[in-house]
Amino acid sequence: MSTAGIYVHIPFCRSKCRYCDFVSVCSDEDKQKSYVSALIKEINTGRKIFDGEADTLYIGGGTPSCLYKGAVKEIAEALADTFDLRLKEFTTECNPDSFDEEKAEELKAAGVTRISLGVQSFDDDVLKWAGRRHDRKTAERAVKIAVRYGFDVSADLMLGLKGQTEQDIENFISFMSDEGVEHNSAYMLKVEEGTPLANDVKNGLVIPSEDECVRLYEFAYSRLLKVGFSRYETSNFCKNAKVCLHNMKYWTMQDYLAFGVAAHGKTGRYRYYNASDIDKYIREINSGTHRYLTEEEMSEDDELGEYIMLGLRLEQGINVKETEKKFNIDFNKRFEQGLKSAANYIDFDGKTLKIKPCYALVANSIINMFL
Amino acid sequence: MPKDQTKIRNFCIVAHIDHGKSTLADRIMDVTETVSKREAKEQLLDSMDIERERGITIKLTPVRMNYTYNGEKYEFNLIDTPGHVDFTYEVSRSLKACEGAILIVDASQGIEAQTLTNVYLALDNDLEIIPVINKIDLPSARPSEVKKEIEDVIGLDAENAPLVSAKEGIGIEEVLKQVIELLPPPRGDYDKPLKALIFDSYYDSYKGAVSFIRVFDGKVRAGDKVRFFATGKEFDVTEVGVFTPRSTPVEELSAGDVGYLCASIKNVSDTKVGDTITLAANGAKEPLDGFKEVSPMVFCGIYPTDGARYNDLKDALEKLKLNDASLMYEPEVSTALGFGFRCGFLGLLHMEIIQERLEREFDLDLITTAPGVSYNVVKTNGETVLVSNPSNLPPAGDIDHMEEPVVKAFLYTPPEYVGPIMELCQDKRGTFLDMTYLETTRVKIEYEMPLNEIIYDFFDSLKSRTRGYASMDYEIIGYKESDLVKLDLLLNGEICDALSIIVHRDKAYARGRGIAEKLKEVIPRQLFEIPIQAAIGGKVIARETVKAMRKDVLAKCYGGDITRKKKLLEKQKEGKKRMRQIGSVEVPSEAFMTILKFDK
Repeated sequence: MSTAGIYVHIPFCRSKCRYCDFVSVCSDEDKQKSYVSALIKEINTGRKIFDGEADTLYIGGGTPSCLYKGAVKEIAEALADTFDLRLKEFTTECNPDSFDEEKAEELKAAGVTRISLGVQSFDDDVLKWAGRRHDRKTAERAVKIAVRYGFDVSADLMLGLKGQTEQDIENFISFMSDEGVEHNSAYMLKVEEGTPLANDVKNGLVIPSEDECVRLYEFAYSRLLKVGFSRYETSNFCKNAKVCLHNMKYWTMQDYLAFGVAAHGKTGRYRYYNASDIDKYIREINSGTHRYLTEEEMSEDDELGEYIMLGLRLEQGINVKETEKKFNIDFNKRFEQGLKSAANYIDFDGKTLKIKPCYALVANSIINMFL
Repeated sequence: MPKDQTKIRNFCIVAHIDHGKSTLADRIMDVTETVSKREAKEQLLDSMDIERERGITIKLTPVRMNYTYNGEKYEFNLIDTPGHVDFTYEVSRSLKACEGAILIVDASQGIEAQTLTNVYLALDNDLEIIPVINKIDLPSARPSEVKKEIEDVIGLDAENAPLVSAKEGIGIEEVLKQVIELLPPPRGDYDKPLKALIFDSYYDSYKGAVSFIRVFDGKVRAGDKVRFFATGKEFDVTEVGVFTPRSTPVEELSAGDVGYLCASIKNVSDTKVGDTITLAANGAKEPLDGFKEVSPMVFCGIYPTDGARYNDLKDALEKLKLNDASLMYEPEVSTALGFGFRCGFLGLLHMEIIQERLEREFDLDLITTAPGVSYNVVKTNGETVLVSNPSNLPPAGDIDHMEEPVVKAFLYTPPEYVGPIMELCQDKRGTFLDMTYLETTRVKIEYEMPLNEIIYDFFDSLKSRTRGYASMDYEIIGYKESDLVKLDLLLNGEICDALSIIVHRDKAYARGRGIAEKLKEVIPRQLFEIPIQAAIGGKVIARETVKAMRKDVLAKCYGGDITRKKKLLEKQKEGKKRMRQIGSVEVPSEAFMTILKFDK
């Protein structure tokens, strides 16, 4: 059996950002403790899904760094007790306002190797507008601590926030580059239904247009490349081949296990995910009645479709031989129509299929030609 | 047994739309206890959902009622009729089956366009008319002025016109009293050979074609062999009956009766509306006067959004046609839209109703092209062709000249809107004919106008310019030569045939610009830049550009949540399905209607 990744979801934040529609709530330590205890129970039953080796661990959220002291270690230990862990990468998502020396110390001791910091912007007005709790100073301090403690660091940059300028992006990128940060995620603001932002937009709030977002993205792209980063996925850039190994498992459709509310896992063609109601999750885990919200066995067509959909987001594209072997197909024949319709937008030499870099942001339209 | 015809009254109700026909019909049925309280729902005779929702009557519906007056039992046959101008033809059919008509006039609105149209139709058919003033409960009611209007404009004696509120149930008995006392009974001959007029028909999947008939002479029963004059075909009658308002079989229909007749007729075209039915043996020698055939005046292309449902659309049209003789359709092929039908309608409302019924009753997703009229195209070789689809227009070099249908339009309005109305009519290429003051508060204006201009947003403009106070009616008066051109729309350099329209040369520039602008709004950004051009012949008169799409990806792939991304992709793919591929460009279905809806 292949080597899997493990994802653990922490649905807690100190406050909710106005654009966010991920599953997270603000809560006290008691709630956190009962959640983590339920989480550990779920982890302990994990072998029924998977009994192979796991080499990446990703604790995401929410804001894992706002968990009570010791929580990350408890979770890591439960995983180590259950699975054959040979971690090459152990990422924890942190927010600058809840990441200090003490937290760094704690995470280091828990075995964390990589910190993904939700910096988003270096402009204090923009950060305030977005509902972030930190300012530029706090963010800079957090980055420096993470680097000093020897973590691999990734910083998130959001594009298209109201009031954001090229100067903000410039400041962000040069700081990260100077500090030796080797991974950045740069993604554009999307108005998600049901968020306070969506409501404001409905009531007439003007946010940067699609063209403006694209302009900022293109600016960030060229700046990142200039300081030595390369793009390896639509929104992800790294130096020195420091890709996020865990995320690469998603994009290349390897196995990944999932624990906690709203977490999605996949082994082989089996795909499952948990419901997002925290209290219900805790109750059901404790009473032994826990079920996944959805479990499904993908069809071979589904699997191939997703493989294409995810693979084309990668700069490296799709390897024709591997695909033919994995799905037992004749690539050229199977995708004859897609290759024809997409001809202007792809690089295809018979060995690999890639979307031309300049069309990365319209990848969906191109991907759809193959589905 | 011959029936006592002096105790029968056959009548209909005519009125301008919204003056309260269906409500009065409901009240009359209440008073005559034709329907139990349990069955009563608003607008009982309007059985189509669409009729109830829009508050209009489309099909005519006959109903039989019993009423005792001065100790005598009377039998009423009431035929509800549509009020809208598109359905004038249906009105005239029901009038043929009656001896009298109740004319409803709204106590606050007074006489409107269709009031007059329908009154004249009734007078043409020698019907006795009882004027009734309705909605007297409204604070704005002005019954005495409206009575005077009826006397002055129509020349009917309105002094004793019942004052009614159909809504509140006021004055209904007085109406029924006048029906008995003022309307003449039928005067048919029971002993003469059968003569029954078909005034409507519909298709029932169990009984076959059902004819709505008015018996003028003679009698007919189940078991009789009957002959249809128009086709000469003979059928065995399986059932005769009356509407109460549900179909209720009776033993015999005889002179003076209104009812229905079934004879296991498979084909509705065998029961031609206006035809006369007689007995096969010893039948009548001459048929009754029929009706003149109506021809459709408004045309549009109707296509299934999903090309695979062409046959479903075909079946649906066939079914609707069974009950709607005025609907015409023939197959056509568009390079942009694939296989579909060119359909002909009596007017815009008729078109909307058919479209809505196709979508609702048959669950079809449709693309409809802009409505147009049919043109007489006189070619240089002397040949004349009738063109209702702009794509079928001969090459410009082969056309000597073109003629378009012209109507005489009658507009009724309070005097303060005369200015805006005249401005509108001029703008629509109208020629002023006449203007009369009906009274100090109402003016009648007559214009000669191209039908083409009327079907294109005229009603909406009229209503908005007169705050809804003006009403309008029109009659086709013939074809006239006109300087018409074909306006083409090009997407990414290719002509989209489904967007082509025929317009007057003077209007072509404004329409071309307007449509191009509108298309720019509705065509989504695609991977490449799309020029939109409007052109006459080879000459481009307007241009817009849809810029290339910049971004369609989901920003971040969160956790292992592939489903989220997949959903977005599926949504995009689903959206594509509603698109039509025109050359390299994807065009949403709505685009084809937008060229109708742009306001200048």
